[in-house]
Amino acid sequence: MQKIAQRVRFLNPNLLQSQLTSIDTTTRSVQSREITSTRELRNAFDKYKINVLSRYLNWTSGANDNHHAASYVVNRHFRADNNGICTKEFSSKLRKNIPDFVKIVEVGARDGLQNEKAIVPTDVKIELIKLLVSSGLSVVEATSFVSPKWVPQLADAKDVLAAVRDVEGASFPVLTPNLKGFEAAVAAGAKEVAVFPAASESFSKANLNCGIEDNLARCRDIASASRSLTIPVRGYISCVVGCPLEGRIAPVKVAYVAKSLYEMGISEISLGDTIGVGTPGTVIPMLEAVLDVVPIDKLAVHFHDTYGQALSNILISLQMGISTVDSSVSGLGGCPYAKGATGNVATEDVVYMLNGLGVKTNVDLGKLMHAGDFICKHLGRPTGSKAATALNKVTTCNASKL
Amino acid sequence: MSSLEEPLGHDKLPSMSTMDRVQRFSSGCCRPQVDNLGMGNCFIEGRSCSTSNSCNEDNEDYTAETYPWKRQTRDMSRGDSFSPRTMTTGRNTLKSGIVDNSFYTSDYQYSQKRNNKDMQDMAYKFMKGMPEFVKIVEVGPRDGLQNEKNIVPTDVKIELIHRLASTGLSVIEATSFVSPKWVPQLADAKDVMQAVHNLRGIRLPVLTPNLKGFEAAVAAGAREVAVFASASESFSKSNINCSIEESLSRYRAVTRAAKELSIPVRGYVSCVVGCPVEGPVPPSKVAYVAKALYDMGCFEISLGDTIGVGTPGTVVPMLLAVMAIVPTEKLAVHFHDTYGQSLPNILVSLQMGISAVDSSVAGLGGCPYAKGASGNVATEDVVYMLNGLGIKTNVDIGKLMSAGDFIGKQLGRPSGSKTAIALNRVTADASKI
Repeated sequence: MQKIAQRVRFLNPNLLQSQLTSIDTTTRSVQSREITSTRELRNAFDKYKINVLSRYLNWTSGANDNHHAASYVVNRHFRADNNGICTKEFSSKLRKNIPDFVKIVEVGARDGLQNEKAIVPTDVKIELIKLLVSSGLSVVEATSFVSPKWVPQLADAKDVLAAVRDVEGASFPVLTPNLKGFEAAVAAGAKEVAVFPAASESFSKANLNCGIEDNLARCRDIASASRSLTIPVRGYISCVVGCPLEGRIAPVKVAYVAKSLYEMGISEISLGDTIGVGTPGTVIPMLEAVLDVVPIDKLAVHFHDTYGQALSNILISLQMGISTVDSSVSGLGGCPYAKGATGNVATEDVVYMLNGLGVKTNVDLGKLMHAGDFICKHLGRPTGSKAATALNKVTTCNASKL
Repeated sequence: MSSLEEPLGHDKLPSMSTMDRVQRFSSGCCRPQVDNLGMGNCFIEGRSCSTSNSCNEDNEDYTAETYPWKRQTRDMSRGDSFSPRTMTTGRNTLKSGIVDNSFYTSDYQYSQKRNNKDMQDMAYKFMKGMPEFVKIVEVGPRDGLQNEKNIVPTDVKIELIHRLASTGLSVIEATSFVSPKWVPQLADAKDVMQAVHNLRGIRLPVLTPNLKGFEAAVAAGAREVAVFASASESFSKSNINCSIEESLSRYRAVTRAAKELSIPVRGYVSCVVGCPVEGPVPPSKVAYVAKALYDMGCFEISLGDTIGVGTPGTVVPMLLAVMAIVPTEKLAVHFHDTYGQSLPNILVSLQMGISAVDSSVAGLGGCPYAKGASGNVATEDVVYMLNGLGIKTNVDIGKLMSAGDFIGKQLGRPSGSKTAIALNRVTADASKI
């Protein structure tokens, strides 16, 4: 009891008094009475045994419609069971803001393949996109209308888009760095485009050859052109946490760029940790700054896994209520700033975590892994997804070691 | 993000020496007196700050100056929002007048808006339960090396432990006194222990599956031991050849003997989320085993997700069940990164108040149940995250990486730590986003 009281006091002083007086000492909760034997303890918990099968579904590829039920049931049981002052507080605080549904924006076909040295044949790209759509992904970034001089990998943008734009069940945003690219995209049948300013002036100049303001001006041009065609525009902001040149990026700068994009009518703003240096300690202030000026439903997060921090950053973003996550099948796409280091977070790993959280994605992990296998076979390398690696190789051997 | 225009050539960008890179991108390494960049990941261009524990030495100042966010969340009574100053990168203010003004303006507006209690609550809500200090229990030399096929020479093991000891880690699991028939890799337990047991300021727990192992450990100079029960009956039988209850009675004998010699005993619970044989493991079973270990005198219980299947959705109920009957400060978490989930699992554990985390340098130790899949979470990745959260660990990430490099070279493989790989290879080529 003392323990519970201490916890509650720390959490919310006002809660303490009212909750303590309402504790029923004869309650089912195992916390509010002495456990006189371990058997009693086991019985208490066993009463609330969860359906084993539904929880098993959290792990396996394939069945994903019960995932929401699975761990949600687990959480709910524990909230109900333990008469939880502290348990209610804990699990509700950690869980309640997490959205019930998260939209995954698949960037593997563009952001992923763009980083490949060897040119991937057009038909392979098209097949990859089709496989991704069949896994349930509703947004698949198809290609980029940039000059083939700079990104030869995506020189076939027109052909790729022409082949996939009529595929049902998904939208296919394409990158358009300027009005020229935008017009080419529209001519090729694009129904959604994307622009990408940076939050770092140096990075903007180095990477896009123009400062932030000039870039935003270009974005405005595209935004107004697209408005007349009712084509939604997605905005990516790069270097939202750190820049390879400037170092730490102040959240206020990110908020400034985000606000500018929002005001020009951008439909969704994806906040990208381009060099993957973010951790929850830096991501939270950044998100807070942006949430001050842009509604949460307009935001997406695009974390790189260069330092292995992507999933925890995604988790904290979900806890703050973000409900759109960018990722790349098999973790395609290295980090151009740290050769050999990883870049994008793997969609399979993200889906695995979301499934475990009971968050719906409509993505079939098995089919997603199939798409990943396909492209990795073609690229001649193993997947960058740990979940996919594990699910492909799980054996139930009787291990003689812990 | 693709490059639009002319990609920047190497010559246009500042070149970076290795040390510069490490300093630049190591989270948490910065001097307090520099512009209050705060928030953990401090990249300071050209700063020659060491990657030693210097930041940690400046204890209070460091926390106060460089983590204004942290100060805020821990002290609601201040009421103020962030000062505008803390949100700008002083040295990096833009030259252009227009942008300067607008940044300053939005800065100011930002700080006024931040008086909104809801926004303050948000960070507070997610971070307040987190401990200020997290103890990292390094299991590389035992749990890591144990999974290696090729026998690692004794002197390499000893050297690894020495290097780890110099990083600031306070607990390093040295070896295991199990029968060499089952774990030939650790047949040299006695020699390793005798060589390292005098290391100062470091605790070196060793695994002891039974009284015989315990006696051998004590004879070799061990001053701390560990036992390991399973939350899954099938796993217990297949892994240590006895039921859970039988293993617990064996350990009672060990803890009784240890108590007489005032030797602390750490308890591991394996399969706390899932079992390769049984599937999902009910939290109640984990709580039962954890309590049994606690009652018999274990000073700390490490909850291990042996096959790495856990996610925050399954870890939280498990922790709730255990925390209901074992004090939080006695608990540690031991997540495997087999499905890439260990860092989010560690994050929620921290949010729930857990303050001890097991990890393995360079992510040593594969998963015996999914051949080729990874196992232990890499200590470098954990330290990187903790540094970014402003949580003290006393671990020097540079020295840790050097220990990881050492063992990686010996084993002839690249590091299993993404942080280590990134910090080793960061370049300033910005031709593509």
